[in-house]
Amino acid sequence: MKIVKKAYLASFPIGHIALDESGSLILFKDFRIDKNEVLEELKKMGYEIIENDFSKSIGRKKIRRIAIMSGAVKDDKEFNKILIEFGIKFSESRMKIEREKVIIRAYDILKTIEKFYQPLKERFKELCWLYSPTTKLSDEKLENILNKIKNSKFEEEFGIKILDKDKKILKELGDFVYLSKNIKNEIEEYTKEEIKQIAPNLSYIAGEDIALMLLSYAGSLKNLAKMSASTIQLLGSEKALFRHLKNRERVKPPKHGLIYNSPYIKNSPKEYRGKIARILASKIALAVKIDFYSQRDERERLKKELEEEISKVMKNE
Amino acid sequence: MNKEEITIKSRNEKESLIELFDNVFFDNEEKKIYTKYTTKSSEELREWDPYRSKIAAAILNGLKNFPFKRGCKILYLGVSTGTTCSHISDIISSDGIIYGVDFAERVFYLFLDLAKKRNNIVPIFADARLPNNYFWVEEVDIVYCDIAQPDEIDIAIRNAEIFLKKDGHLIIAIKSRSIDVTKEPEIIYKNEINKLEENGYKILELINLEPYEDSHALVVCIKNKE
Repeated sequence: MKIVKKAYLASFPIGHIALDESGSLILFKDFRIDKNEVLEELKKMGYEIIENDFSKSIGRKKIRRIAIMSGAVKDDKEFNKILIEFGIKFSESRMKIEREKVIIRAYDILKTIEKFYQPLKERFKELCWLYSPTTKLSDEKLENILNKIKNSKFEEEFGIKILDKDKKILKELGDFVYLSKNIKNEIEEYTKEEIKQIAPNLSYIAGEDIALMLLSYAGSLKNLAKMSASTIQLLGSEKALFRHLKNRERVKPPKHGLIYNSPYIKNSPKEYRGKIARILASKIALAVKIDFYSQRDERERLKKELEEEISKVMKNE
Repeated sequence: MNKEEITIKSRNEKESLIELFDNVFFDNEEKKIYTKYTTKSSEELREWDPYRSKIAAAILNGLKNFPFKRGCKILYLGVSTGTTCSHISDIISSDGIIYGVDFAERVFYLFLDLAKKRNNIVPIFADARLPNNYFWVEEVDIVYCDIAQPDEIDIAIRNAEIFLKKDGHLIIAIKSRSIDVTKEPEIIYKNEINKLEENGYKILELINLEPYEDSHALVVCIKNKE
């Protein structure tokens, strides 16, 4: 009976190394040579080729010495140099900036701007009041003032004479308020457009706002796709949930978390909200899973099912 | 990085400077340790801050088994920005090599910068839980593990099993607070040491890092089996 000799092959950045069971060298080819050539050469020599953890572990012990002995690299330092270059390339190729991270960061900025924009506007209004105490400053009127300040038409708007130094600071503040409003709108549009790209099903079912909220809360689409529907339903209402878990008899469980902002829940009567939240959350969970794993387009089907089920609940069926 | 790389050349001639280990100097007067960074054109002594680096804290607390030597091959799990890594790179000099593994993008950019400057650091952007992703790392003399995870010891053992040579050193910085907040640190150290011994590692030393790091300890052990 013919005995088939075994060759344990392992590929390293420095080259391909084939050893037999006892660990003696059969073949070493440096990294410039293609793996297929090595495979063919081993086959010609009559070896059965095995590539597994064992071949890696015995190859790992000898690779440095053999690479230097065979002349593939001059010395330890050259060996190190090749590995360092490989490591940098390896790491850089794996460190990609993900689209969803960009969107989440932009959305977080949007939330921050929204938070400070309102009080800023109010304070600015109060400042303008000093110059026109008789008129009531609605938001529309403020817009008008901002526009005029931008064009430096102070007297026309206020009527009262303004000191030059006041004028300067008023103009700069006006520019700032005006700009933050524009930037806010721009980021809002941008994030909504982007979420449609990475999660089309989710943003169609839940609306872009809630899709962004859920994504930002979960941290990534992957995390969100791993969540069960019940988790998504209560996302953002952890405080109420744990209050309930601590004291089950007295405190009722929350019905909805972030998804409360959906028009399906917000616009329906209170007694149905819990059931609708459950249905919506289950459809959202499906949509996210489709977006992350298969990227199919199931928007219409999901939406139809969602609306059918909600109408069933409303009819008390 | 810039902060540490201030040259303190004149200290070379100081009398109070003692060479503790390869390239590691101890200033007896000021109770500080330095590592010597040698390039082609210059030498400089860089202060090793015990508050930022656990090995430096261990040395100041009287670590006896210090396996880092010139020409060592090291697998370093959890390099972070590379503060400790830069000092180990000083010690092993250009003959040795460090394989630095980390999985956090933000700190890894800083570490990549360091790796490009030095000539003995291989950056590996991978999860230490999945050593198959960097199977191409050669056999090493030392595995140093500094990751704040509950299953830190398991990760360290899994990596040492694959990459550490026989009689090589496994060094683990245990952060008891990230393993279990409710338990006393001493009990956690005991548990983790038991786990290591069950897996065939001989414990050489356990150093408490007290004044420098709260509830941290450094374990040095040797891999006994093949």
